Amino acid sequence: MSVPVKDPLDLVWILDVSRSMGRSYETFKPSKLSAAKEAIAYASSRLLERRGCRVGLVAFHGRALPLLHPIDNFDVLLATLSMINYLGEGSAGGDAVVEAVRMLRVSGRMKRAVMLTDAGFNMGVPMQLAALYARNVGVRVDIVTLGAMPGEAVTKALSEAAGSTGGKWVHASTIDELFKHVMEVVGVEA
Amino acid sequence: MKPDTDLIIVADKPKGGRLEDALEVLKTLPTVGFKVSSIALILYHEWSLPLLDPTPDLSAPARVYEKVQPLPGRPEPVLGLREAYYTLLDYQSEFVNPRVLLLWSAVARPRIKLDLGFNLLETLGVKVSLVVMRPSLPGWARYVGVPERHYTYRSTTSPLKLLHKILA
Repeated sequence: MSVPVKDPLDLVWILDVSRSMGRSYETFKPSKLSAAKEAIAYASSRLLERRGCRVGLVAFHGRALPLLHPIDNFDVLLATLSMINYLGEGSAGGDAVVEAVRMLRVSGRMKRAVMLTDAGFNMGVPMQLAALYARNVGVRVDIVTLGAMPGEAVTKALSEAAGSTGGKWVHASTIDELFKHVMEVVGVEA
Repeated sequence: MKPDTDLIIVADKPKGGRLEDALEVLKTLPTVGFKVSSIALILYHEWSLPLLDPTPDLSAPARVYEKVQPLPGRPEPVLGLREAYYTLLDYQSEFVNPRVLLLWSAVARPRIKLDLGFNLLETLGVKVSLVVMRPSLPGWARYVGVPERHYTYRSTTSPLKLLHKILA
């Protein structure tokens, strides 16, 4: 079900740029990262057609990096995405959520964060604590995993973390599913 | 008249720490009697994150702190102070009289000297108070830049009196 975007919205994309995202997986070619970037670009182009919407960007591997403060300029987002390649080892998903919430915390708008990742977080702030902070600030966090289905313990943790903020966890095994899920969680139609 | 205080609490929650004491301090905050206009909570460990941005709800930090499971590892207080620095910058237009209260379990020797973090916040003109959640400092404390002025916490310590002393 689509979430309608009616109020002014700041949405921060959280993009996993760890080494594993640089690999291909079935229909995710040449890499999971390139597919994730395409999905972000496409969904953002639709989102930014709506007045009052802005998008920002955080990338993470073993560290989380704020890359783009929320803006309504699609060309700048596209240029930023084009600069990103897979960056390094490790995966600090919790740090990335905290970084996105920091970016949003003084925004007076509706606040959303959407993470695209192949999971496997192994460093930094535990995801459930990051989600606790997001919830306290009123940021809804949705998590889209892509590629091979993560294990049961991981999916349970992701589902609980996203759910505690009012968001959800969804998995995309193919590039079509990825586009469909990303469009759905941000509330735009293809 | 003294302006209202905007209090930023920076706390750890390691396994082996006297966590009930820290919780007791947080639970005492709403009864302290001083005018605290906002309160924020930052958690530090081998990383740090804000758990609660400034809120007028003085009972919120205890509720949120209780939800955190004790963590294995070596807390680094300076990472918490760094997070407090970001909070101070982001909310500087809203803060009138910001103060930082660092609660430190001192269960393990940190790698980063504490005085570096104190120095960072003092450059903003913000007073930082340290409460060591132990009856006395551990032997290695002299090597990690613990400021001369600090408070220790015994089982007989009244959290209310302690907070009065710190916030007065």
